[in-house]
Amino acid sequence: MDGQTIAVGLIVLGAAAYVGSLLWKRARSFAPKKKACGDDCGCGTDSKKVMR
Amino acid sequence: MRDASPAIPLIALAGNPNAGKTTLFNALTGLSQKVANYPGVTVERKEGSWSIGDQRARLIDLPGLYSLDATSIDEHIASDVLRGEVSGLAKPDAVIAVVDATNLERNLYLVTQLFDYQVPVVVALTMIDVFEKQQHKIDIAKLSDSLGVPVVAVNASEGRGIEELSEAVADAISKTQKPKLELNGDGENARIFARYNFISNALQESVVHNDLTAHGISEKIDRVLTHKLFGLLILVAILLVVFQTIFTWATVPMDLLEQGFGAIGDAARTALPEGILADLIVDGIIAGVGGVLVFLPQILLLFLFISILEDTGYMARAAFLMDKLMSRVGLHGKAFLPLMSSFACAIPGIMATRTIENQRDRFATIMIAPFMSCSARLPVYTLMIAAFFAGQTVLGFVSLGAVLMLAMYALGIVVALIVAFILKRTALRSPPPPFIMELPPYRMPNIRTVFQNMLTRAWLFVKRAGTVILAISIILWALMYFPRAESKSDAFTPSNAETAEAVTPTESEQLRNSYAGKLGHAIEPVIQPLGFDWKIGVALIASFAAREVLVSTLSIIYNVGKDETEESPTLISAIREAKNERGETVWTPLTALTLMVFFVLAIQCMSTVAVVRRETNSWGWTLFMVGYMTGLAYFAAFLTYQGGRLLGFS
Repeated sequence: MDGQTIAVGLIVLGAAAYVGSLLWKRARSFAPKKKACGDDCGCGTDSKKVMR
Repeated sequence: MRDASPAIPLIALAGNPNAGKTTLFNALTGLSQKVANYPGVTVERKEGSWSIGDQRARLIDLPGLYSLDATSIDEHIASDVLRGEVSGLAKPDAVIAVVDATNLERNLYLVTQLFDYQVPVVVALTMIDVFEKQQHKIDIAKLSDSLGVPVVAVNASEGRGIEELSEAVADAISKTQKPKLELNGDGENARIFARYNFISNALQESVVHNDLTAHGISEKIDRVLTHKLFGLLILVAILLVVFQTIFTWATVPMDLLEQGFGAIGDAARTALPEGILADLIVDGIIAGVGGVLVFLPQILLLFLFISILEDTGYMARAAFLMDKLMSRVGLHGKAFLPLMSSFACAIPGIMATRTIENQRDRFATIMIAPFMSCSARLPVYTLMIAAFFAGQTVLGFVSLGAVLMLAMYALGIVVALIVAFILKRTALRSPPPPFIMELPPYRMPNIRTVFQNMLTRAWLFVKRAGTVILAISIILWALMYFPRAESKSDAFTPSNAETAEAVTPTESEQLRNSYAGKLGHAIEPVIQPLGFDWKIGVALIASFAAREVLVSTLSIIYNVGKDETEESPTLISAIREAKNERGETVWTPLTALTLMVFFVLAIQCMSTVAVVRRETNSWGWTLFMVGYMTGLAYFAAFLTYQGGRLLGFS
């Protein structure tokens, strides 16, 4: 296998990994919103901003 | 339920959305804020500590509301807080009513409703600087006297009036207040009339507007622009002018960009050693990303015009016109804003449906939002128009391209209204609630805002081309390039595949036997009745990731000029000259029109599907939307192609 083929293989793998990660995020966002508030629960309140 | 610390006064901050409530809350509480949710719901509750006189007070920010009619969840919560019926919160000792001075009538309506709760009210008049800049005059003492409650002018960002507000609240808590509003008459309508009458009298005594002439002119213009017939004709004419201008102005920069990417491809081909890496960079990356980026001028111009129309106040008139149509099919008036947002992108549009209280109305809006032609469809429409309808006119002066573009936008709207009509009479039946729309006065557009909006959209487009489109282009190139023919002499690259002159059987075989080729051939029997060949099939499948990917896929498939001595021709000429295995022309004006119709109606966007699932919390509705939109798109494309052929078009 020559250098060009290795470089192309890495670029294609990188692109596939990037698209795969986007797909994974999309798949996770298929989950419905949670009803209650908590850390990263996905509701309107950002729990990280809560000052106690 | 009583508060845990009853000795500390509780002050509630109430006001219309965008009245400056949050700015005032931040100015009064500084960093001593905490954010939580009201029990059981995801409505945000902000609390902070504030000094009034020599004592501390708890300040609670109520959700932004126009009234306390308790029809939406926000209004329910505000109403409960004011009655002291929210767990962990006592009945407030006073309410600060935040009132936008530039929109007194609407804002004071909420104030008159606050009087019903037997809680001392102090009016904080915000936007007073803008009000004064417009050279209106207000007698605050007289307004306070007419309303029967203290009124303080504040400018939170400059600290103006904060001390006076604190004194007024401290004073209000210690006294009994008697607002001068008297609600005579029976029935809700009589009470509403009495409130507006009270507001009108109070304002007549205390406010002098300097723009009576301007208001008069605005009203005269509105009589024409919101007329049910002339208004619609003017809207169509404005859109035609916008699209025609986009095509005219964008031609030169688009040609330059296309030539630029062609030159970059040629330079890269010359500079790089011959081989697979050069093929990837030239035929995959430069052709794929460049194919989409050449449409940047159109995107810039489209958003320039949208921003200008918004900033002048015309968009609100267009909304008013469309609202009449929407209410006839049973859609909620609040559906307009989500649908309008969907012209940029369906995702924020679908998320904006959260403002619609009734779930059936909300779902009906979600189900039709993806029909609005988003900016990702623009490169597809433009490519087809530039390849087959450029330079043609209707009536001798109107560009056919502009008419077709308008027709595509109109088709999406008409189909959306028909679908909404059916849904609202079947699965999502519910009476549409009344809706009041405010028409802002006409004004000169702010150049800074207009350019900021345009550049934000342009940046999103470029960012998408440099990330998602780039990655997908690389993968698509690989799917079209592999598996390779064993013999080196049979080497194939997609850049020289099946074009008018540069086709060789070996190259053609290579693309046919690639992974993408096999997939395309597998679906070809399904799409053949639409006039599409297997290469368009590959582009259709790829475009489910993002609609613009159709353009980059076609660019990779049709990117010709593999011969090193030849310059790369443009995507448009490659599409025009493409031939199938039997030597027949693949693309005709009818094929282009069919593809455009398919793209208007097909869902073709994975992100939209994800957000619909999330917002409806239902696989049933999500699959229903994917199914009916795909079916409708196929049926309409079939009718267009086969109908066109029956009428003698090729």
